[in-house]
This record gives sequence, structure tokens and C-alpha cells, in this order.
Amino acid sequence: MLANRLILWCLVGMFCLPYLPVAAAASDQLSVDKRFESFCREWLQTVNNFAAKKMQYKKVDQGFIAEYDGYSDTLSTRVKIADPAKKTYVGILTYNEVKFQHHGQTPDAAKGGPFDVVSQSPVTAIFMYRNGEWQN
Amino acid sequence: MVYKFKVKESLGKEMQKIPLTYLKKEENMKSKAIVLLVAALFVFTGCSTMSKRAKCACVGAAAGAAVGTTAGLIIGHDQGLHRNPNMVGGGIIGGVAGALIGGVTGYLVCKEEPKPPVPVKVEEPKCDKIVINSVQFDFDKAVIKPEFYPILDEAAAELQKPACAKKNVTIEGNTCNMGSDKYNQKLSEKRAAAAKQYLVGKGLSADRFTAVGNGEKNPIADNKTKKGRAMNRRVEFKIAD
Repeated sequence: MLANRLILWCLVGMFCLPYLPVAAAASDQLSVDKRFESFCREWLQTVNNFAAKKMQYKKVDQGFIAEYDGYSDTLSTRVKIADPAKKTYVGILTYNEVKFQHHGQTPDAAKGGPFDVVSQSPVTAIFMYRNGEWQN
Repeated sequence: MVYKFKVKESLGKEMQKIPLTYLKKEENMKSKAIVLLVAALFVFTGCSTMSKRAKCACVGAAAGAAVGTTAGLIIGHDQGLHRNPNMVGGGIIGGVAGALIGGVTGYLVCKEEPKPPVPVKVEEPKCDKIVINSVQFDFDKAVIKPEFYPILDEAAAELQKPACAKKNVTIEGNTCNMGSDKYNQKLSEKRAAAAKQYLVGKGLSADRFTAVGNGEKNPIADNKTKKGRAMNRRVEFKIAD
């Protein structure tokens, strides 16, 4: 009876064993995908904050225009495996570079916003995952 | 024989009893049947502009109506009952029933052919800027390490997409602020040139690319942090309109 069970489990094991690396790879990819999206959000946030600091002012007939190049919150990401052996991936982030403007009577009023979107242009940024993390 | 005679005799008596108004009504019914037949023919010819399945149902209905009406009339005539208004009406009923049966059969037999796709004007995806990060160069060197080739391969794939494939590209090298301006300027130029060389090696036309260096002039993040400096060391591909 015990021998029969042992044989049965061995057979189940033999059947499942080849699929374990596949399942593990799929799980890795899922984790890398998730981490890429949060990496991208953080990356864009950093870039956006820095861009806002580089705000420029233009004197116009009636006051000032404050403007800076920021980035859209909407993004799309996809991840491709580059080298399965070394567990390296390539991540592709697509977002929009946005020119923001606001008009005010004084530079401070212009700086206060709310800012309007003047133009948008798509950007594709490519990153690499190696040594267990997404690289800046 | 006796039975037949009795039927005929009784019919003869019946027919003699039919009043003139009844005969007029029968004529009306007959003409209605002809009108139905003609209508069926009209429908038949009008079916040509419909979709395949509707056409089948329409043709089936028209054919069924025609056959049903004719059959109704012939049966009535053969049995010598053509003066009986109920039998002429039977022709009409036959026509309607035939139309129904023919229509349903036609609908069921024919399958709707897939509609041709409506031509949609696809807006060409824009291709303005590609930024490659994560490519690390050795200190004072502008040689791309093999482990970073997949990033450039991806950039090459993006640049070969239809939206970008024929456009000229300016490759801009950027550095962090470590080192002198002059040094970083040279380094950024070399790194842009290295990226260009790699892409040309991949089969992209060298004529499309102009390699320039921005030095440390265009940071995208704060140079005060290690992370910010890493973000600033990058190559951008700006695609001309």
C-alpha cells in the first residue's frame, strides 16, 4: 500500500518537475514587471520634481508666463527578457513630455498655477534590469 | 362512383346557390392572389441589394409565396372548387405560408457573410524621443559594454519602426556633473558617437544620425544624489519631424 503511494507520488513528481523552472521563470517575470511599473512611477516623479524646479519666466504684455517641461502621469510599460541565464530584462517606458504654462501678473502669481498643458510629445525610455534591480 | 356522383351533384347544387356578390368576392380574392404573386416577384427582384442572409430569406420568402400561391390556385382549380371563395383564399394562405416557410428556410440555410472591415484611418504613432538609460560606461571611457547591448538593440528596434524609420536622428550624449565641463563635454560626445557606431553596426544608415554631446548641461535629475547622477548619464535620440 505504502509502496504504491510512493510510486504514485514519484510519477506525479516526474511529471511536474520539468515545469518547475518554467513556473519559476513566469513568477520572476511577473515580479520584474510589477517592480518595473513602480520603478517607472518613481523615476517620473523624480524627473518631474526636478523639472518643476527649473521653471522659467517670460515677461509678456500683461504680466508673466511661468513654464516648465514636465511629464504626464499616464504611462505604459512593457518588459522583455534580455538574457534568461543572467536574468536580465529590458523595460520600455512610454510617457508624454508635457510643456506646462501659467500666466500671472507677477512671477509668483504665474508660478502659483494651476498650469495648463501647452503641448505634449511622446517619449520612449529604455531601462535595464540587472543584478536584481532596475537600473537608473 | 356513387360517392363521386354525389359529391358532384351536391357541388352543382351548391354552385347554383352561390349568389352574384359571392362570385364577385371570389374574383377579388383571385386578383388578390395574383397581386401577391406579382408582389413576390417584385420582392424577388428587390432582394439583390440586401446582405447575403437577408437576400436568402427574401428570395426564399418570394419563391415560397409564388409556389404556395400557385399551388393553392392549382389545387383549387383541379378539384373544381375554383368558384369556392374559401379555396381561392386558400391560395393566398398558401402564399403566405409558403413565404413564411421559404423565408425562414432561406434565413437558416444561408450564413451571414462577414462584413468587410470598415477602413479605419489609423493615426501614425508619433516618434519624437527615445531615451536610453542604464547604459553604464567605464570611467573615462566611451565603450559600450556587451551587457548593455540589449538596451541599444531595443533602441534600434524602435528607430526602425515605420513611424521613425525614415527620419533623421540626433544622438545626444549627456553626463552627470562629476568632472570639469570641458571633460564632460568631450565624454558626452564620445558616448553619443559610440551609440551611433553601435546602431550603424546593426545595419541602420549612418546618414540618419548626427552624434552630439551636451556635456552636463541638460540634467534631468539632481546631481547631488548618486541616483540623480546615474539618471543624468544617458543618451537621447531626438527624432526630427
